[in-house]
Amino acid sequence: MRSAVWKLVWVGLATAVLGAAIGFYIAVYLRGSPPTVSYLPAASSGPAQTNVTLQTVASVGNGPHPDWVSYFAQNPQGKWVHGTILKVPAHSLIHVTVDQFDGSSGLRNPFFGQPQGIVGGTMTVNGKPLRVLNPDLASHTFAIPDLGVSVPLKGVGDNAPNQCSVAPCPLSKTHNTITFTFRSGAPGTYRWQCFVPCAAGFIFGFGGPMQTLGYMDGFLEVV
Amino acid sequence: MSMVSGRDEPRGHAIRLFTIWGVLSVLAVVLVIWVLGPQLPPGSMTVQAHGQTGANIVLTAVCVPIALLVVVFFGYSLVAFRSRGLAGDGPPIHTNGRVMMIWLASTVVIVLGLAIWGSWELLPEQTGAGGGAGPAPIYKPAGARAALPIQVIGEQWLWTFRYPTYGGVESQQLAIPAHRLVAFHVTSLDVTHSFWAYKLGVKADAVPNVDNIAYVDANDTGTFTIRCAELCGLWHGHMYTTGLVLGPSQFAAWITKTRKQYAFSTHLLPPFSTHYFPQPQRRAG
Amino acid sequence: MTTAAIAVQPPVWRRLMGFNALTGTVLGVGGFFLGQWIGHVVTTGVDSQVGTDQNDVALILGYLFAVAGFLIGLGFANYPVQRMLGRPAELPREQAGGVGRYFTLNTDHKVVALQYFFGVLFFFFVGGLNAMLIRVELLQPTEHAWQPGNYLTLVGLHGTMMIMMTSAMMLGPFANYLLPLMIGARRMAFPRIEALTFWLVPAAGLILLSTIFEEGFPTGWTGYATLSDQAHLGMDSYLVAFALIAISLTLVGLNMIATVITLRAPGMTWGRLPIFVWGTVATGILMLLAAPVLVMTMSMVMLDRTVDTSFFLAPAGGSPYLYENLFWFFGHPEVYILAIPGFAIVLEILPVFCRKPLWGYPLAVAGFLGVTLLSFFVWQHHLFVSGINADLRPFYMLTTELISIPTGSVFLNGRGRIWGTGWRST
Repeated sequence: MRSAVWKLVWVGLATAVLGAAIGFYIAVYLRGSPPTVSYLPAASSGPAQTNVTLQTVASVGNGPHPDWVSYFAQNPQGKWVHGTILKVPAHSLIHVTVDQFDGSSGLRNPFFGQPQGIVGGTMTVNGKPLRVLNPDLASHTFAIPDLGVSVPLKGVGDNAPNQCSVAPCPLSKTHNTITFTFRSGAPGTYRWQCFVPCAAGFIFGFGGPMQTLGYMDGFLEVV
Repeated sequence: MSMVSGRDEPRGHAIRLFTIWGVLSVLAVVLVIWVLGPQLPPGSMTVQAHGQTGANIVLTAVCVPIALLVVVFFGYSLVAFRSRGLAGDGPPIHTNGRVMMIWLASTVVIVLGLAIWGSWELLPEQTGAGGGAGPAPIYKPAGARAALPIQVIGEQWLWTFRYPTYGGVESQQLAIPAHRLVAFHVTSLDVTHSFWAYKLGVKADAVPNVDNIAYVDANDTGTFTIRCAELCGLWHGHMYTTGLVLGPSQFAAWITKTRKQYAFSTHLLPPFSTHYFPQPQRRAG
Repeated sequence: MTTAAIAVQPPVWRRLMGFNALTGTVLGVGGFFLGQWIGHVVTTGVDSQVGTDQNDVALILGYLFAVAGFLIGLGFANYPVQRMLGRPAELPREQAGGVGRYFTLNTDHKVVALQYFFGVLFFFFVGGLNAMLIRVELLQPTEHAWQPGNYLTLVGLHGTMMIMMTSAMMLGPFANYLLPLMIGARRMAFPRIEALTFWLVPAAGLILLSTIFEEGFPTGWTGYATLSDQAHLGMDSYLVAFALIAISLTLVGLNMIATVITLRAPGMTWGRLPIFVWGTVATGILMLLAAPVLVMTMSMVMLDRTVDTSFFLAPAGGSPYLYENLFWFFGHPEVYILAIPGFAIVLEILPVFCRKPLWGYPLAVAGFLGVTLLSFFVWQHHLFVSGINADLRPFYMLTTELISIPTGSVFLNGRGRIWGTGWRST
């Protein structure tokens, strides 16, 4: 009888361990995702538009990948969040401001030097309108292929003084400010990504942060 | 049904079996050719797709009777030769050289026949195959010299299309003219992708530094889906777009509009080439 | 060769301190950290490893040292060390019964077969769980359950686990158990290697599962060239695990063939071998010749990722086609490694329930050997539209068609057996 009890104990223990392992696998690993930043406006706020503020940094500085480039999003309360899932309202004008702190890597495909899918076809760089960017000066792009949006972001020169190296970067450091507007259409979830091979040290510059949600890739949730 | 069998019992079984198989096969082949056939992918939007659908019909029509032979044989045997009681042992059949020879001969004939037919179908006088055939395809359709070249550039994670004979304009939207031979030059800027426009009957791997050519001749106007068919990273499943087949005048209007739309970026592009070295290869620091 | 008598079993705590899976795990973990430390020391200042926050050298060395520690802890180093110290050659003491012997290096072929059975089954269920999780994501057309990177890892884990484990699924449990019995031998030709082939399987499986701690791998089970060079740290788990399984497969094949050639009982001629033994020999040939190619392919990708070689990088003179050809040169015989034992087992079972010997035995043997030979000539049918030169398409189409002739003849054997018999289901 004692051996029967022992067997029951071992089997129970093994089942519990297995169940915990599966639970960990699903809940912690598979369901893990970067935080969502919501830009949904309050109920009555005039014409359908909203403001989104992002910044790109050369290295995050902390966390599991301190050396990776990344986007950061500023939530409506003004706090910088290391998240790339942006929630915006449908059928609205989205005014995007990107504070670009990273150096230039150059576009692999110079096709992206011309911003597309944005209102007026023109982006504003440091206050001046620009219809096309020299591909070698691009540091990142903000592109939503399913909406036809793609905007190259001008990089900070390599020799510029006072460069920011650890996120989140304050506006006192050298940066370029790029603004543009696009129209969010029907509700849905759209991916966005960067098209500049900016992942330092990875083959073709497209590994690491370029393939990880929360760094150079994200979702635009249009609700 | 006695299992202590005489000479004619097996023959009776054989006749019954082959009758059942024959009837089912004829029925199945008729269904395959006339009912299933028109539904089989990839359809008839292009000459190549039509040829592939025809090939699918022929192969299915040949394979279904063979599959039926195995299934009906086993089904019949399971029903007819079940042991009835303790005395139910079958005759000591160990081998039958004639059956083996007939089987081997017929499978060789079917298989070689299909291989020869398949090779013949690849010839350009037939429909050719719509798949990517490398930088120097040996099976080129008639009029390949005058084909409209369209470069399909796959990169992580987007398809763009370049028209070298229209000023080298690059566009995110693919449009091809109907009733005109088009040569897709598929290449990649980074990892291996695969340009898969199934309604056109085209699947061609986009490999860096390689010019993979696939010919297409569209019969009808319409739209088609383009997907990436080779795992290429995070957004592989999102490398999805829609292409257009336009009539000749519509295509001329479209290309003019596109050239105007992308005028700025065309200045930035390097000269047209069948492949582009991904630069930079590895970014340091 | 002398074998000592069976001794009385020492108490549990004493047995836990010997050479067994627990010691192996402890030494494995220790080896992992040692390897990682060595890797970090070796790559200080190397920007492509350190500056990218993923040190492939450290991780791969960690895994290799972990496997070495695991195997040493199990006792695989005991015999070589003993021989180097001049002790006579002897098989390990036979252990008394009990569940404990399944967690040690055991050279009894039946024990190894049962170890294989449960080990493979465990990883088979893990792969099946991953399949169900894939289905959960596919319940709706857009991302709703798992993020895209995790989903790709799920797909890769499911595929790799299934292929890795099912390759061993047929020959591991069944051939190890039944082959010596069927040919009248007392053991397999190389019992210690037999045990090694088993213990590499849980090592590889755990290394593969550890990819989830390194953000997974995006290439799916085929691990295609340029993407696998570019991918996250988790790619190294896949590469090391698959290479280990390939080593295990090679050794299984070697063991099977050597056993059948040398240890048949007197009077057991080749023409009298049970058909399962022939199937095992055919599979063994496939494993022995194809699996080493996979070891080298995985090693080449690891070299590309760590020391900046460019086997598969186009701009530096390499080619992704090299990977595709090498991989499928293994990949096609691999599918026959999975299929032939299955055919052989069915051809063993049917005669039992039909109460007659196998019909057309020479044809079945010819079928297996024909499939084995032809399976090395068809691999480019995986590369038809890849953009390689198309002149060989008709040749590979022909060989692919031809391989269905021996396969079909195996089915003829089954049909011939069941014709006219009185089959029973009990």
